Amino acid sequence: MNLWWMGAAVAAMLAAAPVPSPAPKYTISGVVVNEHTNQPIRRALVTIMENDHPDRTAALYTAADGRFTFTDVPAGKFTMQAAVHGVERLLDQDEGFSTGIVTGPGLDSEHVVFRFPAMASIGLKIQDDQGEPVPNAQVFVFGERVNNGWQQMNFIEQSTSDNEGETRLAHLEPGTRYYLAVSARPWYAQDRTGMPNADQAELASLDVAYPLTYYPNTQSAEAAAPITLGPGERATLQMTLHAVPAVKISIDGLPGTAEDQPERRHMVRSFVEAVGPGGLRFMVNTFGYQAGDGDFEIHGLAPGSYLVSLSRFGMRGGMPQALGTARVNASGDTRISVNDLPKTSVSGKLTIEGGGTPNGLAVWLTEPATGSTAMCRAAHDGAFDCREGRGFGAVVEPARYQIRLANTNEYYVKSVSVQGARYAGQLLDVREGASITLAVVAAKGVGKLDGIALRDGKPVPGAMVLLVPRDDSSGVDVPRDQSDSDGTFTLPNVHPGHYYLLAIDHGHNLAYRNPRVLAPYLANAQKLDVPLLGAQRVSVNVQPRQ
Amino acid sequence: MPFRIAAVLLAGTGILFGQIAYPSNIPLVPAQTNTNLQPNANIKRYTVSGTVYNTLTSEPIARALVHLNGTEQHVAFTGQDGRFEIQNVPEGQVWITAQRPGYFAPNDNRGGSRFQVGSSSNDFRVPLTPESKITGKVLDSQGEPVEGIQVQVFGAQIIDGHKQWMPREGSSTDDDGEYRLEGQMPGAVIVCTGTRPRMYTRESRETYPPRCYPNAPDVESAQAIQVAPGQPAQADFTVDPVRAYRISGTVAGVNGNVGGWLEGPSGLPGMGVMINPRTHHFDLGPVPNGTWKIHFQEMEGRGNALQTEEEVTVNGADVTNLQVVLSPGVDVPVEFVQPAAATSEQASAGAAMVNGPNAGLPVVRLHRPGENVFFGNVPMAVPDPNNPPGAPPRQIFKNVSPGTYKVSVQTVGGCVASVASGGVDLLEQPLTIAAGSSPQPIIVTQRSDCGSLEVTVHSDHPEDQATLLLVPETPGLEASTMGIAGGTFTFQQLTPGTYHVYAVSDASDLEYSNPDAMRDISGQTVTIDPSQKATVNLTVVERKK
Repeated sequence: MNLWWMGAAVAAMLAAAPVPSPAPKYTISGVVVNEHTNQPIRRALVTIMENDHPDRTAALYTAADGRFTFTDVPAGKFTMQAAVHGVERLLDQDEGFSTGIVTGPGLDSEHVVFRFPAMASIGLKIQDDQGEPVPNAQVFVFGERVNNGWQQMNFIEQSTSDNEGETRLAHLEPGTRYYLAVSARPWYAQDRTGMPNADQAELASLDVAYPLTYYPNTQSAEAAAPITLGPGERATLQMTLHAVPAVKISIDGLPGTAEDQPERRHMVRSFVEAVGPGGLRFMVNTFGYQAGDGDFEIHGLAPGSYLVSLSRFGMRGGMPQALGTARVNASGDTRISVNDLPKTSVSGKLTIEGGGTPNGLAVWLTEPATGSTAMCRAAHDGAFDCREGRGFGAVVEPARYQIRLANTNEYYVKSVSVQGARYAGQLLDVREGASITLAVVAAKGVGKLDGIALRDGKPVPGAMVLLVPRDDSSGVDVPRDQSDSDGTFTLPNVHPGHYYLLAIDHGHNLAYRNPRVLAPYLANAQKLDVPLLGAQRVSVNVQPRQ
Repeated sequence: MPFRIAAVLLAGTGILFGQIAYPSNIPLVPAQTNTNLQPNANIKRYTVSGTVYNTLTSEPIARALVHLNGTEQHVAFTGQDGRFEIQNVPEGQVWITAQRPGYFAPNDNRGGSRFQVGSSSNDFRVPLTPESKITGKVLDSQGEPVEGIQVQVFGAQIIDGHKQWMPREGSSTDDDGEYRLEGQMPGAVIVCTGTRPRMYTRESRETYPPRCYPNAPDVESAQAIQVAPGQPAQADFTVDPVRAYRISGTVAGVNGNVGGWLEGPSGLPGMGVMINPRTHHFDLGPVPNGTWKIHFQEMEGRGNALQTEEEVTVNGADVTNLQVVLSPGVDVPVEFVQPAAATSEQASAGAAMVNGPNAGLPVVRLHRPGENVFFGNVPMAVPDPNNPPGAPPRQIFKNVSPGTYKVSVQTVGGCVASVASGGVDLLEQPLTIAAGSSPQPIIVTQRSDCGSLEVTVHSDHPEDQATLLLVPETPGLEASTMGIAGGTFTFQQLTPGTYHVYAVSDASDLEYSNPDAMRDISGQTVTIDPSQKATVNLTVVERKK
């Protein structure tokens, strides 16, 4: 059962009495156990929510034996959630999917085993080359995850070290490969340009910075070592930062600065990113300001490779205007000009097949490798201009993107024509400095597909069901669901085309968008054409995970 | 919501209008010297050295960064022995300070210690005081950690001579239920945990109730923890989730945007309340059992806010259909009755410090008892624009919320014979403002026969700053404070009556408006007769911190 759209509204908790009614009543019962040790978990909060009536919920704490029993439950489909120590999980949760519990005649809802993962954590201590703690260091955690079938590098969380140089990174998944990056400035660092009366020789040794450092101790994202934790593991890690002379980046040629009247000036803001593992970009802290001579200067950087973006904010508010993004290899003080900043633009027009206004629809560019998204909201006439989702009106970052529709479950992308870039395999290849125009045609005709997952004629709960396009023109997303306790499933957002329908008994972490990973399952998949002829419900045979 | 913080803090920290108090905890920061000054070849240069030391242990501190500011700026690290050396420093006055994580420069050293670089010894001692920290664990009664609970520290601050608990920074618990609050100054603090819904969803029906150490429901009933200099303090909590409910209803009388907040246990905003801009319906929670105050406020125009407070009791069930009516504030006029003679003399005495239509006038203030001044809506009186020129002065408190207020008067601009409204003596009794009323004006009757008090201060440490406190016995008259470094100071425009005068080495934690707190401080009691120029001698009471 697909619940990704419910988000935080899942599991409304109401310890009200079950709703009385003359219809037959059922029981939902089971046990919550540690996924790895199979030990029961007591005082887990188990909540069930009736899918057709989201305000009807019930919640119980598990007993010492980890068991829970809900009685007097009406027939229907329920979402189940367990919460342990502030971590919430749906039953058999896999990304936004979970196994729903179905009650009714002949259905078994009394042997639920809720496997709860034993999360791991890292206690990290950061020190400098004198062996002293580094306070206020920004720690970034990245992890390799499969999202929607794509193998991705995701940004997981960020934290700050305290005065002892320590921080805790909690709720990490056992088995996932994590990477750590640390961005910090020495507490004693002094900015040379802020102290004109100072002894420059003394300051030179203090105008230092720490390079962006990846665990265990490298400045190269490619050489960062993955950290994999066991269930319930509490790892203790240490990193040492080495100070190097700081560099600055000066940017000239800014519009509307020194030469304009003060009231016509704009505020220029910079943000500086590093390129981390898997090509994932993340922001690092810097000090940027407009110097008296009209240049914009960014201070306190360690030598390294950065993406420097500039935006201009009008004094009276309004959308910031992106001035561009430059890749800067700063091995010493570096000077660039705004006029040299490549500006990548992606814009276009969205039309609806058969006429109609694309009201409220948005085009999204999603980078499958990282999940980064650029958003392109369509105006009333369908015109759109894509901006990176990070704010500051940033231009679209060079990468390869899927072109998708957002805010709809009626329309799908029927065709795309592109000028100024390569578009192949349903990926738009955005290069630096390109000026790209898209013509996106959306069509109505999105429906859903109901079915049942079977093995040897018996329903299979918790199976991953996929509808994989057989040809390129069928769309950018792969409809997916997870079968409920009675084996039934509903595939959403299905539009006309030629497909393979397949089901796998355990789909977690399966990178099904990788053709090599998917190939072994396609051999036993069944072909399906949408719209369906004949029976409106399909059945699919469940294959074992290989 | 509008925070009139600037006005509140200015009025409340003893920096009185017209008297330039000299708070002893703000050091002289040296003005930036002429940056174009080139080092003169004739100026002698010296090597400056010294030790950075820990004020608690007197031990030297290694790897501290020393800043020396004079006509030039220098920096240097101390070595393993805590010593530093800076070459080629031009002679003259310099300020030297140090920094290192985990330490702060002590009160009298914030801008640096002042030293003279010259032909005599240039070896100096630079103090640093270790910071303290507050750590602890929040567990439930099963011993399980409670993650993600906000922990807030309140420090005592003296506002108008009364101790108020003001919020400082906070933190939240990690997955072990632990929190750590660093960079703490020594002194009394109250530590409280905040509410946190049992599950992070809108419909949560359980919440962790707020708790103030050791086990009190709010700041007032909590027990302060003494944070010792350089020592960690520990505050652990045990909290279990309790059943929580929702409060919903509608706000009437709305013209524009309305916001609201639920007051937390410290009198500060706890939970925000969203009010639907179309239906004016609100729905807030989860809220545990208890009596709660919800503030509603509309923002219209330039700060003239309609507002109201609702007290709501939650007792085992949701509160639904709460009907809230925003009432406009009430304008309270203030009229000044001035003595015929002596107007010019008093005006010139007051106007020497103050300009504008309020020159030479006492300042009337309204206070809501029990309200945390950090957040309270403190009304200020402004000149009445409709007052014809030549008429006696008139002011208005605009848009005052209905309620009961304590009135206080600051008399630098002129002493008073009485302050009354509708026959009620506001120097002794509170002022009650009813909703929708047109209240009687507050009539301030001034007098021409003010007295004065010349205080001569003797100190065992004449080079140190001390603080003079003048506390009137009449409740409605405000106290005055003045920083002084030995010598004489004269308080002017004193309303005849009885006063207590004190001179103390450090008044920063002294509740001078609380007679119980002042019982052990020796001072003088003096009665000022009309037109009397009284004198008194005081010796500075040395107070240990």
